[in-house]
Parts: sequence; C-alpha cells; structure tokens
Amino acid sequence: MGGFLLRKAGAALIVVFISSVVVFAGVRALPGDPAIALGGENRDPAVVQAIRHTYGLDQPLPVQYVKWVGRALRGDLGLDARQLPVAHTIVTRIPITLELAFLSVLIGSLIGLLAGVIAAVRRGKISDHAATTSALVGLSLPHFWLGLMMIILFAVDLHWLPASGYVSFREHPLANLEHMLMPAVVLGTGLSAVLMRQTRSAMLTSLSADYVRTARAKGLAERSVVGKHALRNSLITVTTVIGLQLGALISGAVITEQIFVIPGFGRLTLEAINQRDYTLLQGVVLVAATGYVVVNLLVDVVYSLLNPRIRVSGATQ
Amino acid sequence: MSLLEVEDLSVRFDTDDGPVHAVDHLSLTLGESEVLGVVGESGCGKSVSFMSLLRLLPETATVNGTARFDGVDLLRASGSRLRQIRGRQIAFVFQEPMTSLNPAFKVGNQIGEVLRRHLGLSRADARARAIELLHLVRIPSPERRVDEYPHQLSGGMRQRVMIAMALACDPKILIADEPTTALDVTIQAGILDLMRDIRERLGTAIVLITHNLGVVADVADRVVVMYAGRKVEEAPVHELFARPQHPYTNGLLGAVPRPGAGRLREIPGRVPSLAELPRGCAFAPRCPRADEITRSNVPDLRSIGPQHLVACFHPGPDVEAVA
Repeated sequence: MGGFLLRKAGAALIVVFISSVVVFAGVRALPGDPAIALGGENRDPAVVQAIRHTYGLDQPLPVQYVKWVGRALRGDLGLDARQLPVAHTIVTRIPITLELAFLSVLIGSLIGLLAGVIAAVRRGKISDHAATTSALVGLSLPHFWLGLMMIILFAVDLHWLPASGYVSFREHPLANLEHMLMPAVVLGTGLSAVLMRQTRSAMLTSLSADYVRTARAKGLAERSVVGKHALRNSLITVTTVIGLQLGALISGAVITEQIFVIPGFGRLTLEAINQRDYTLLQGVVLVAATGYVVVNLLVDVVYSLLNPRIRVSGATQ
Repeated sequence: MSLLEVEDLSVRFDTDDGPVHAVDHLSLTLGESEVLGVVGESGCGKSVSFMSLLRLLPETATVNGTARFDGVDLLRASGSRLRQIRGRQIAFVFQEPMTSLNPAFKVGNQIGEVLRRHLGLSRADARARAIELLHLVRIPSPERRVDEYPHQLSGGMRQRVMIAMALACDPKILIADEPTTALDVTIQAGILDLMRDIRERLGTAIVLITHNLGVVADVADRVVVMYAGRKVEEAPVHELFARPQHPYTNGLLGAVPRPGAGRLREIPGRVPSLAELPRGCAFAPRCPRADEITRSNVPDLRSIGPQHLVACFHPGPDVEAVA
C-alpha cells in the first residue's frame, strides 16, 4: 500500500510540474502586455518600464519562471494588481468553493447512486424509465438556465430561499446553507445524471455476476444482495466517475458562482481574467491544476480501498 | 421417506427466439445422506433444474411442478421462507470458483455472512467458525487464509472456500454443480475425496451435477442421466455401469477413458438445440437404434429392473460395449 501511494504521489508531482510550466507559458502567451494593463490609464513609457522592472517582467522567461515557482513553493504567489498577496486572496476564496463542491458532490452522489441502483434493480419497469429520462434531462440542462429558473421559482415566486449572495458558515450556519442549497443543487445535477447512468450500468453488470447468485443462494435478503454484494463492486466504477466529474465541477463552479453571486474561487477566476490580472490568473490556474491532481490522487486511494486487487498488484510490482 | 421429492419439474425460458424448454417434466427423489449423480452433456438442463429448485434462475424462466422439501413446496414457498432454506438447509456449490466468490470481500467475511445470517453468530464467532470450516475443507493455514481475498487463492482453494461456505450451516442437502470441472485433475480428486468425507462425517445428502461419468462412478450412490431436458435413465450406480440401457448412457460410458480399452468412442452428432427439438425421441437423430417409432413418438420412462428406469423404445446394453 505504501509503495502504491508513493508511486502515485510521484506521478502527481510530475503532473503538477508540467502544469505549472503550461500555466506560466500560457499566461505569457496571452495577447497584451501585463505591464500596460497594470499601468492602467498611464501609458508613459517610463512608468511602464518601471512597472516591468518591479514585477520582474524585464527578465528572461526562464528566470521569471524559476523565481515564480521558487516563491510558489514557499506559498508566495506574488502580488496582484491591487498589491494584495495572491496566495492570501486564494486561501480566503477557496473554502467557499470547497463547501459548494462538497455539497454538490454530496447531493449529486446521493441522488445519482440511489436512482442508479433503483433503475438497475427495477430494470425495464416504470421507475427505471423515469430515472433514465430524468438523467437525460438533467444532463442536457445548462447550469445557467437551471440556476436562473430555480431563482425565479424558489426565490422570486415562492420566497423559500435567497436569490443570491453568501453568508459564511461561522457567521450563521443556517443562512449559509440556505444560500448554498440552490447553487449546490444546480452544480450537482450534472453529476447526479452522469452518476445515475454509470451506476445503473455498473449495477446491471454486477447484478448478473455469479457472486450475486452465490449471495442469493446463501439465503441473504435482497437488501444485502443488492446493497452489499452488487453495490460494492459497482462503487469502483462510480468512484472513477465522481473523480472525473470533479474536474467538470471546477468549471461548473465558475458559472454557478457567477449566477448566484458567490465570492468563491470560480468568481475569482473570472475576476482575474476580466481585470487582466496576470499574477492573480497565474496563481488561480496553478492552484486549480494542483487541486485537480490532488483530487485524482485521492480517487486512486479510495479506488485501492474499494478494490483489493489494485492494492496488491501495486504492492508486489 | 425422501428428503427431497421433485415432481414434473419443467423450466421454460422465454427468449427473443421463442420459448425454450430447458427442463421437461423431470421427477426425481433424494434420500437422506444419499449421493445422487446427475449426468449429461452441457445444456441438458441439469444445472438449470437444480437452480430452479431454489429459484435462482433469472426472471425470464418459468418454472412449473412441485419440489417438496421438509413439508414445503420450494417452488411455491414465500420469499422469506425460501431464504431461510437457501444456504441453511440446501446449499449450492457453483461451477465457477473463479467468479462465484465476491472479489471485494475477504473469504472469511463471505463464509461468516452465512453464519451470521442463519445462526445469528457474532462477527468474532463467525470468524472463528469460518477458520474451523476452512480447516474442515483442508485449506492449509486457515488462520491466515481467512483474511485473504478470493484473488489471492488458487482455483482449487476457491472451490474449497465455496464448499466451506456451503457447509457452514450444516445443510441437509449440498448441491454441487460441476464442482471439479474448472479444476486441475489432481485437485479434482481432492475435492471428490472431500465430498465423500463430508457425507461420511456430516451425513449430508449430496447432488453431484457433472458431465463426467468417472466422477459419478467414484462418489455417487444413484445416477440420473439427462438428455435435452429429460431424464432418460435412472439407476443405482453399479447397476447403471453394469447394465446401461439407454443408448445415450451407453454412448457416455463408451466415452469414458479406460486403460487398455482402446480408442474412445464418441457419440455422433451434436446436442440438439432446445428451441427446436425433434418430434419424437430427442436422441433419435444421434441414435444407432433409431427407427420410425422412435422418430415420431416420445418414449415414456418405464421400469426395467429394481430401481432402474429408462426412457427408450429399444433399451439394452450396447453389444459393442459388452464385448
């Protein structure tokens, strides 16, 4: 198990390194001069030159890169256009998005798994068709449309939930959840739809497996046959799907946070782009890429916990 | 008084190509502590008939007939009553040890599950008993094996685990469906030896489903020969080997390798598709004794000696086989 983790972590480090190069190069390749953007109205060549010098933009790219990565490793992502530390800005925004992501994965997984299992067990019956159809609808709905419709229905017409905004959990837990509910559902819809379909097909495979027949022949209740023997083997597929969908969640969060005016990481990304804030954008994308790699690493760990065969082959190799 | 009485069991699968009669009016009995061999080629309905008794077939199967066990008709018992019998009174060992164990759980857990379900043992007690059972089926160092996953065990060991699982609650009947087919010959002998031992020590009645007459000769008391979903011959094992009546039984016996017996004989032709059985005797197209009567009429089972039944218009040992 230790060797398996070590190898996975090593691979993850390499991916983070490569993505840091791509992020750095990508931001440099964008049209426009960061120094001019930073200078704002002031186009005086002397001022622009001074800005270049302060931000180290007059140095060769490799030098800039090494300096940036060196500082990033110590947790310093530089100063943004407003002279605020980028790392600090990101750290204050990330928990908000993490909460949103956690809630939407929670909601999406619960609905997706449950619907998938039911659809598989009652294959070809009405509940199967209902689940499959709703999944198709859920998959086809764009986040922004679903978000707006929910705001109109639950906030404007019914006054059940606040239309937008954010209250921190520490300040007022209930208000926090009220604000987070709709965005989490919107963000979780796509996940639950994909998950429902994957769970259904994985469950259909395991339900027809020989070991399920063995479980029935042992006299186990159907609850245990489905919930233990079949589901456990389907969870391997399901974990992969959740892991893959977490990437989509990051991009989904950008739109969802924009609609519900949640000051999270996704909104920060948009702000960085709109304001041409290169340092901020660079930091945001690097953190997003690293986060994605870490999530994949975690998925691998969960995977090995669920499937003993992966663990062993990792240990013996 | 028989332990299990199956009467007029028929199993029909409704497929896209129309109904398939996998088992056709099968009747048989199983006595206390008896080892019944059920023999036939693949697809003759031998596995299907016994799986249908515990209602383990997919929903596409329609099962008719009666199966009396312990005062209950298994085919009509309620789901909860059936689940009390499955694994507790009648246990199954399936053909494929590779896929019949759940890859995601330790073998100790899978054995212990039956004990916790039927005997209400605690986790710790179930584990202890699982180790004893692994010992009983002669798995070396069971204390270590109990915490291993199926993929860490060899095929023979997995089959032993399946048997341990089946024996866990000391069932009255053990149905072993081709328990040795997927295994090496040396391991096969060990498993058969184990079966005999189980009967001797625990008094468990065993149904041994196999296509191998050698296995039957080794272990069984009585034999039922099946062909295309029907019982074609039934006799005590010595009687069957001494005086085989049905040409199919004769054919099977000719196909068993014996030292010095020369070239093996094969049964010409193929097993007919159950979807398009011939009008008369299903074996007629492959039968050396077939004639007009055979081809247009289905022979009934009739008694031909003590405990010896055969469904054939022209019964008798092959001249060739006797010579």
